[in-house]
Amino acid sequence: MEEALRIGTSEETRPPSALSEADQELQWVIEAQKGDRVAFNRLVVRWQQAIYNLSLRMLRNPDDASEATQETFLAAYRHISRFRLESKFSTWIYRIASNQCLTRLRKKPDRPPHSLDQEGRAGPLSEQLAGGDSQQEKSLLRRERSQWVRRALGGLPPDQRMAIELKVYQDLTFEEISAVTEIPLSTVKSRFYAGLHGLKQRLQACGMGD
Amino acid sequence: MDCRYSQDIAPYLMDDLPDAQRRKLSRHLQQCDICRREKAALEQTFAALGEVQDVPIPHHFFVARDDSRLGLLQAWRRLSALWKAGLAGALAMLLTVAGLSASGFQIEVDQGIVRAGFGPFPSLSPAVSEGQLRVLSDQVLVQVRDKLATRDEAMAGLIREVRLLDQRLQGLDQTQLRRLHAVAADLESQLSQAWRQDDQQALQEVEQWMAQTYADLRLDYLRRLSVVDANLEQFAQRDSALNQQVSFLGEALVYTLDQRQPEKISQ
Repeated sequence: MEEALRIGTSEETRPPSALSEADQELQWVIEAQKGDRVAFNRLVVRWQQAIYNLSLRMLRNPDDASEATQETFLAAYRHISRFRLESKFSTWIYRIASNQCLTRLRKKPDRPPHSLDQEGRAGPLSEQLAGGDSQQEKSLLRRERSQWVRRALGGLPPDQRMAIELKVYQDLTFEEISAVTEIPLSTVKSRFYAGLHGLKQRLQACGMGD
Repeated sequence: MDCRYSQDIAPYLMDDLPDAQRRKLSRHLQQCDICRREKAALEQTFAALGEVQDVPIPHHFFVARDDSRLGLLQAWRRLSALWKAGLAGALAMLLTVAGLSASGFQIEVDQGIVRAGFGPFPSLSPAVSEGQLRVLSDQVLVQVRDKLATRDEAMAGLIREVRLLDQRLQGLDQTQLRRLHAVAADLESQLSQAWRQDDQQALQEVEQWMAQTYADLRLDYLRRLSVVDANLEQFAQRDSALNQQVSFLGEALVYTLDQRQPEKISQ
């Protein structure tokens, strides 16, 4: 029973706060390299939200995104011993994830995008608007706009989409994107700006970017 | 109509222009409608990009081992996030409080001597009478039932632990609290059901074994007992694998709870 209480009490098991996030992550990587699965799963908990959403925006389908995310972490787990500690874990995991997505897109060009229903677990927009208050309407309209942007993003070539994903949503610098994608800095920038212009035109075409 | 400076607007907004070029473009923007429109359009594009919010993960992507697509993990993924959180902690506690395996129950066949039970057990020779064996089997059944009763008590303790977990998250809003209470109630009923099934199955297996042993007493009961013994061994091994799975899930739960303080949990 004592052990049970210990497990149920976060104060005793919380990671030491003296460690910075980066140091903590490094420690988990080192432990994972020694075969500690729990340490690796802590890395998973830290990164799964970012990697899943990256995959979802790239692949536009929740099932594919789920598979790509799981494959990313499995690949990282299998090859964690090859990870060199002098580089950032984030660069490494983004590289695996972006390769995973781009490979999937090459093998299986865009599947039909997931619907609003799948994303929000809700029924058709019109049905929900019929009985909703204004707060609910706002939220639904926001979701609908988000869908339009996702669609516009989905219409970009995968390389440009990835550049925008890493820059805008993962908040990487151009230099970091260059390290993740292993392509020259100038190419990263030209892909990003080309994607941005493409997106601008698509959004203007659907009345969202005038 | 276009302006030769308009292609620099995006790098300008991304702070990706050399200082001199940036200053020049700032001045140019004051007098060029084309570039101002381009800047406004790009700003709207960035605003639109900002409307795409992250969606919650559909399930945890824990890595168990290379054969991570174990049935247990798949079943785990089908559960809702809160249920999982409750269950991971609960299972970790369950393993600690009660233990899942029938580890205490043993049957030994040693040079024709049969031993069965959870603790000190009687022994008898192959020449034993049916009456003696019946006495032995009754003793075993009593022990099995006692063991199961202990497990029931352990489960009640376990439910209390889940409620303690609930109390730890007092900072949550009413909706979240209601959901947690629902989790605890759900957990209680699901575990009770699972345990009842387990218990019934265990009892049935023991009774079936007894019945078969009586029927075949004079033929080959030793062989049959060996089979039961092997089955129990397998059962124990399976529990050991489960134990491993659950221990890291429990760890992950603790980590998740540590990372997600109450104010961050509210969605």
